[in-house]
Parts: sequence; C-alpha cells; structure tokens
Amino acid sequence: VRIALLTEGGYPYARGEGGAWCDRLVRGLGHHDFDVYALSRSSRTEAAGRVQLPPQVRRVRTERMWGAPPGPARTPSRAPGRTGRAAFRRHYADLAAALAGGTAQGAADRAERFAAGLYGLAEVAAEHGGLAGLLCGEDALAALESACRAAGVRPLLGDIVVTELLTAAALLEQQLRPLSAPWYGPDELGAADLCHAVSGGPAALPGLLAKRFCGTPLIVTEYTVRVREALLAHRAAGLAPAVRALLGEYHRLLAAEGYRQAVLVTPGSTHVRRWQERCGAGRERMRTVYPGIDASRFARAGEAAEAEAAAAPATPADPTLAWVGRPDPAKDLIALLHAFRAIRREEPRARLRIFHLRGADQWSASYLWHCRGLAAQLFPDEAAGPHAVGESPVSFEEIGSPGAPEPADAYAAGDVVVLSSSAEGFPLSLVEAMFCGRPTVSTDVGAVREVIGGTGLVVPPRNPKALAEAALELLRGPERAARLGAAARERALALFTTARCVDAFRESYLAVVAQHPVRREPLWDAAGDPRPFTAPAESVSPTRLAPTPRVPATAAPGGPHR
Amino acid sequence: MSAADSTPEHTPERTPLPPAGIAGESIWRGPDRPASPDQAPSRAADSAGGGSAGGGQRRDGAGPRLLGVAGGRRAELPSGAGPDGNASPRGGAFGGRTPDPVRGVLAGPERGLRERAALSGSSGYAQGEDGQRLSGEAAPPVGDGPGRSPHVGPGGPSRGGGGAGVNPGVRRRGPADPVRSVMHGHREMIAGAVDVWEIAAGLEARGVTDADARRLRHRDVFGLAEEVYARVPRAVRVADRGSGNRERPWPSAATGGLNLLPGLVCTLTAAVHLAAPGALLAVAAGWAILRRTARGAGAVWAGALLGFALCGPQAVAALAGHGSFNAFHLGRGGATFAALTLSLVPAAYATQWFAVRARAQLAPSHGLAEFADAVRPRLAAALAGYGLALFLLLTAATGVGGPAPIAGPATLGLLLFTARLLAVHGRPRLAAAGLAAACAAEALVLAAAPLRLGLGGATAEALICGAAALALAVHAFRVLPRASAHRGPTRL
Repeated sequence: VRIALLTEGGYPYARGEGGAWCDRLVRGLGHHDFDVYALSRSSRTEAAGRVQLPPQVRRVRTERMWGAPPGPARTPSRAPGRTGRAAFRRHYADLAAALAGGTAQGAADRAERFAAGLYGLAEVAAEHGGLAGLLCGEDALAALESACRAAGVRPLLGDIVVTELLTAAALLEQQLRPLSAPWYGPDELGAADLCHAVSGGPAALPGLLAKRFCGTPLIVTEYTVRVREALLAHRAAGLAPAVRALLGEYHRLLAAEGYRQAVLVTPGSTHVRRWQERCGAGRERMRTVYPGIDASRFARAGEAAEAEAAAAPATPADPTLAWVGRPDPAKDLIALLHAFRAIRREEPRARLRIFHLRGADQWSASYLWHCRGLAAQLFPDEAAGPHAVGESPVSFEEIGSPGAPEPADAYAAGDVVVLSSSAEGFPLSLVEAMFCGRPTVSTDVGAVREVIGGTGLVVPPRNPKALAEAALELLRGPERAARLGAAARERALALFTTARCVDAFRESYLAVVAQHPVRREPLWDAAGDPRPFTAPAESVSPTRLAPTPRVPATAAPGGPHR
Repeated sequence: MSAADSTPEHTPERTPLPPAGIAGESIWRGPDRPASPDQAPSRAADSAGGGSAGGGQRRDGAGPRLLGVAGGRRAELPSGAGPDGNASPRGGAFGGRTPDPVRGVLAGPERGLRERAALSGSSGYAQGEDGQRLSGEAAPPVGDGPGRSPHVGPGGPSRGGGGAGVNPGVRRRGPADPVRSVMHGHREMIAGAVDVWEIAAGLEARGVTDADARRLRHRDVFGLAEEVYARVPRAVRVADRGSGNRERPWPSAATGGLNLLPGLVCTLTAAVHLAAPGALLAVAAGWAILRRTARGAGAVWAGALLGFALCGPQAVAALAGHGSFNAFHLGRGGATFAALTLSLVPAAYATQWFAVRARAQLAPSHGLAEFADAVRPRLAAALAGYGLALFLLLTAATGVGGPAPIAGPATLGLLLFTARLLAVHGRPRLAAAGLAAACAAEALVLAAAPLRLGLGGATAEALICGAAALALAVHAFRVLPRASAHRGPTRL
C-alpha cells in the first residue's frame, strides 16, 4: 500500500514535534511504501536538518509555509488572465465571507462556503497558476475588506484597518501555499492509496485536496491540538485582534473540514478528542490511538522491578522519591519540594532525587536554579555523624550524569516516582515510569488519569499535602507499591508500546484502503458498459511483492538526506 | 484515589483575623449562635432563597451597614456585558460573602433550574459548616484579591458541593464566586481575547483543566470560557498606529552619496570637456544603481534611453546626412545630461519620501478607498517635487553651459522616475514595459532617420519620452494607491 504521509513542521525534519513518533511508525510499517509531503513551519525547522529516512520512504516533497511568497521562478511566468482573476475573486470572496462569519450565515452554511472557497482556490491554482501573487494582490485585500464590512459581521472585524488587512492577507497567503504546490497530479498524491495527515490543520490541507481531486481517502492523526496551538501562537505573536479573529476562524474551519472529510480521525488522548469533537469531528469515525513509546529502553529496568517484586518487598532503608522531566514552572517542582518536606517530618530518612533532562533552555535553567535555591533553604545538608561530610536529602541530577546515565536508571532509582505537574498534556514521563514498573503518585492534570488508569495514586494538583500523604502511603507499604508498579507495567505494555500504536495504524490503513479504494480507472466505459476486472482486489496488496530496493526509486528535489 | 485532605490540626491559621463585629459577620452566623433580631430574617432569607436574584427587599431588614457593604462589593464587579451583548444577569445585592447563591445567579442564562437547586443545597451546606466553625471572634476574611492560585481560586474546592474534597476546618479565602478568581488571574488574557476559543486555549495553557471547570460547575473548560468571555469586558482596542519608531522620510547619507556619484562624475568630465567617456562612466554608475532599484530588465532599457539622450540627436542628424558623428564632441548636450544624472539625488529623496509617507497612511486609514485617497496627493507631490528639482537643475545647466533643448532630458527624467516608483513598489514588469516601449520608439526614429522625415533627434526624444512618461504616470496613479503596493518596507 502506498501511503502519503502529510506532515507539518515535524517529520522528516529532526526538529519539531512528532518527528520521533513518525519515524517509529514508518520504520514499523516497512512493508508499505511511504511518500512524505512535508510543510515546514519556519526557517528553524529546516536549519536543524532531517532525520535519516528508511528505504521505504520513496520520496520527500517539501513546501515552505513561511518567508516571502515564492518568486517568479516558482510560479509560471505569465500572470493569470482575466478569467483566472475573476474565478479567484469569486472563490476568495467565499473564503473571506466564511472567515468573517456574520449573523446571516449558519454554522453549516459557513463551513460550506469555506470549503467551496478553498477548493475553488485550489482549482484556480491548478488551472491558471500564480495563486501566490493573487493572494497578496489588491483583489484579495478588497475581498477581505468587503467581507469584513458586510452586514452582520461582528464589530471587531467591521473596524478592521488597512494594516490589519495586509497582515491577514499575507498570513493567509502563507497558510494557503499548499494549494499551489505541484502535488496533486496522478503521479504524486494521486498515486497514493491513502493520505495520512499526522497533525490536524495545515497538514491535512494537501490531503483534503487529494481527496477532492484524486479521491484519495484521508486519515487525520492528532497528538497535540493544532487549532489550540495556532490560537496560542497568534496570541504570542502579538497579532492584532482582527487578524487573530480571521486566522483563528481559518484554522478552526480548516480543522473542521479536515475532520469532516477524513474517513478516520485518531486523537492521541481524550483531551485532543474533546477539542476535535468541539470542532465538529464525528464520533463514529474517531478512534483513540495512544502515541507509541519505545519500551525497549526501559525493558531492563522493568524486569528488574518485576524480579524485585517477586522477592519479598521490604521497606527500603532510605526511601527514595524520584522525579524525572524537563524543569518547567508547569511541572510545579515547588509543590514537590513542599510535599517532600512533609514526608521528611514523618520519614526522616527519605530522599528526593530530581533528574532533569539535558539541554535545557534558559527558561528551564532559571527555574531549576530557583528550585535549587528553595531546596537548599528547606533542606540543609545532613551528615551521619560529627566527622562525616554532609549531604542534602534533595539531589538535582542531570540525565546522562554518572548517577543516571539513562532515563531508565533515573526511574529505577526511585522507590516511588512522582509527577507533580500543575499542567500537562500527555505525560510521557509517567508512561516511562510505568514501563519501568515503578509505583507512581501523580497530580490529576491533563491525560494523567487516562494514562494511569487504576495503577497509581492520583492526587489533586497544587496540593503538596495530598501528594506527601500518597507518597508516604506507598513508601510505607512496599507490598502495595510493588503491586501497583507491576500493574502499571502491565498496563503500559498493553497500551503504550510502539508495537501497539503501529498495529493500530496497520489495521486502520488496511481497513481504509479496503473500504475506500481509489478509483483510478473508470468502472464503466464510454458506452456505459461495465468494464470487469479493472480494479481487482489483488491490485492493492497489503504487502509489498517485490523486494525493497536499497535506494529510493524516486529522488526528491533536494533528496532525502542519508 | 484521591488522598485524604488536610485534617483540622493542619488548618492554616496564617490569615490575620479581623476583630469581631465587622460588617457582615452576621451573615455567617450559624444557627447555634443567637442572632440579633434584625439580622436573623436576612439569614433565613438567604438560605431559603437559594439562587433567586431579587435580594433587594430581603436585605431591608439587615440595616444600612450591610447594604453599604453589599453596594461596595457590587461596585467592584466588572460589568458583565460582553460586546455581543449577552450579559449574564447578576444579583448584585448578594455582596461578596454569600457563598453559593451568587454562583447560581451568575451562571449565565444557559444554566438550568436543576443546577440551581443543587446550588441552593450546597449553599445551605456551606453555611451550616461555616456557622459551626465560626465560634466566637473569627469572622471570615473577605478575599478581595485573587486567590493564591493564579487560575482556580482556593474557593474552588469548597464549591464542590459534594464535600469529598472539602475540609470542614478550612475557612474560605478568596471571593465567594470563584469564577472571579479565574477572571482576575487571567484578566489580561481574557480581556484581550477575540473569542471563546482563544480563552479556552489560553486557560488550558495556563493549567486550568476540565476538573477545575467542573469544580466551578461547568461541563468543561469551554463552558468556563464562555462564562468569563461574557463577564469580562473586552479590552479597549488601541488602534494600531504603526510601529513606535517612525521611519525617516529621507534616505541615509550613504544612499544620497551613492546617487550623487554619477552626477558628480558627469559634471566634472563635462567641465573638462571629456564629455563622452565621462558620460559613459556616469551611465555605468547609474546603471549599477538602477540594477539595485529596478531588479530586472528595466535597467537595460534605462541605459539604452540614457544612451540615446547622450548621442541620439547627433546620431539622427548624422544618419540624415546633416553632419558627422563624433562621440567625443557632444556639444551642449553634455551640460543637460550632467543635470539629468545629478537629478538621481532628488529622485532618490522623492522615492523614499513617497514610500514612507504612503506607508504611514496604512495604519490610520480605515479602508482601502480611504488609503488610496490619502496616497494620491502624495504621489502627485512626489512627481511634482522631482519635476521641479529636475527643471531647476536643467535651467541651471543651460545657464552655465549655454542654451540647449531641455524638453528631452526633462521628459526622460520624469519617465525614469515614474518607472523607478513602479519598480520599487512591486511592479518592475510594468516599469520595464514602459521603458522598453520608449526604447523601441527611439530605435524606430534612428532607423527612419535616413528617410529624412524632418524629425530632429531632440524633438523625437521629447515626444517619445513624454508619451511614455504620461502612460506610466497614468499607471502609477492606478497602481500605487493600492495598499498591496505598500506591503513591506520597500528597498530603495
């Protein structure tokens, strides 16, 4: 099966979220062919280089969604003619009217107009070319202005000024660049059996066009909510309110259109699922697929924990709490330190080891420095006797230092692993601790409850007292801790392994290809007679029949970096 | 699997206790304490009234002191009317201390009676507890400020109503309506948001979860976002008056010097009667500058036009058999050509002035038509300013170098200036087309010269360049008032 992997800002670039996950997916499905269609989000994405691509990736196509519009070298030399411009004006007016909204339009009407405008613009780009110039041109500005000044549009947009119009048009042009990408021919996305967009929003845009033009089915996978990210990014970039309103609507309508057209939507957690449902995704086509995490790195620690549990668990001499992660104010290490203070009152020999990831940026470094200061104030150094050298019960160690060369060692170092975050998305460190078979105490944030199930203790966030009591319970009850750790390991191995995720997508691919075959040949000839055996089931083989050549058959422009 | 909460002996006693008898203490008085006769009815009305909004007449018995407190608290509440007008009805007379009925009223129109009933139940619960706790002097401190937590105030758990997470020993700090803590903690984010989605995203990014929202009696964060969007007034929109640092309307000295270079070379060589090589040098330098400006085929055509201005009339005369062609003797054309090259400097200044002044009109303009109306006079002023400077230079040149025709150089200068404006503002192809048309016409004149049509080179140049300049100026007045021509900072 030939799969077009649609990415934005991630794979095959080394930097960017989702890169590692995509890599595991592609490597896990070696018997399929992959074409990667990547949209890069910024110059930083490209500067970090690309990951090494396995041979089943046949081609890589890239398009930039940043910087100046593509110059005349990229677009056909002739500007679109009169008919092209008229079509552009019509479709862009549809799109702008959908973005501006207004009381006259219902939600369904709005989505309809948005889709009509979007596909119409793609047709303009395919037939006449020069879409980038038109999107920056006066026609686009005039259409946006008249849409914002239409009756019933909210006052925020009605008061839009020329600078905001220019900014909005320029940003929309960047967002709509995939429309003019030369990807929709029969040799490109048309040759794929299915499109898999590994994030929602802009990444799904080529998939939408492929579905429209070539009938390729689309799968949308989201591990972070792209709409939410976009809204936050607009806010952080300090865009004007009217621009934010227009672009926010664009992202929302695009996501909704993606969910509507996709044959399968796979959110990565309940939180993502809730946003998707809010955007209008249908429940009947949703299937939650947790991100797969490479369990092999934690296999040794997990087996050691099992063996430990099989022997009679005893109360440890120096009960140790471990925290692993990237220092960040949202992780609320301060609450952890206060909780540990309460633990020390009850259990004077307890220790806390904080393992932080290497390569911290300035923000996390300053937060870590702050936490070290607090730890030094709360917990003075202690020594065994008057002649011994003292040591603080709280230690800050970097992963990769001799104390913990690997993350697995860090988790194994703790009798109980603590997650004290006040905000969290999908808690990867919790899953890793579960792989290591450690009993955990975590705060009830993000997807924690969903991940841990019943195999660990959950306390309210920002409640050091509750955290301390839960941790003490586990430190004092080694049997229960061992039982919880084993259960957590079982749960993690059952739900969060790479194999599980890859299997889920393998099944999904086959189901989608079987139920939504791409019809490349008409089933009826010109006279209306049926043409038997034009699309036999054998033409789509779930496995590759010929051995994979070592070199990608089709060289990409720029080529996959190997 | 929530661990047990703190036990009474861990009750934080940090909050300084106000002395007994401050206003409003009576609201919290439990049934085990004898209530003063004038306050008892209000207490009963509170617990019985549940979420009903009409607090006016039942406060009547509470005395003026209590009303004053309630009024003061009410004044602090932000006006709940959002821009879209769905204000949440609010019982303002509740003041800040009645724990739960406020919520029932505040909750916005979409709330059902079911929830309200639940609220009144929990209200009784909270009051009863508080009454038990407040033995003697301890009056509940009124939390005017935000809670300790930036997102969900500490009042949150106490509103859970179920009692599972509530420690009966903890006095409530923070406002009676915990949504106000949310509103206060994220005031700027909420006030600056354009819709509910942005608030939901912002709240989630700041750590407000669905569990928090449920504690605030909302289904999820979206519900909470809807309420705070309706209750927090939108920030007054400050019109974007462009970036703070104003652009200088004049080019830098380096740019001015660069544009002065060809003129200087040409003037010096004309002064020492080495006109032709000097002019070639000047044309080369000018071409280099034009390459930077026009970035396209336009520079080639501009060079050709300048070449015709230099040698054209003489060549036409020679081809017509009226004399010989001597490239080293240019006659009086040298002085006017030097003036033309010198006019690169006013051209640079006028281009920059126009670009900056037009861009400055972007922010104050409320529409594309208004912007175009503001730009047109500035374009006319730029053209007129350059024309005037060129005319003065040419007049000075004829004054110094003797009488010479100035119509040709003047129209050529205007043509090149208009083409430069167009090229700088994103229409290099249009500019090049105008220049190419003029070049073609001049080539025709040269080709037709042996036919002796009686058209002199200078006259032909003036006619051709004048027509081309007029055509380009018409296009400039059509194209340059568009906002899309003033997108980014244009390079000069």
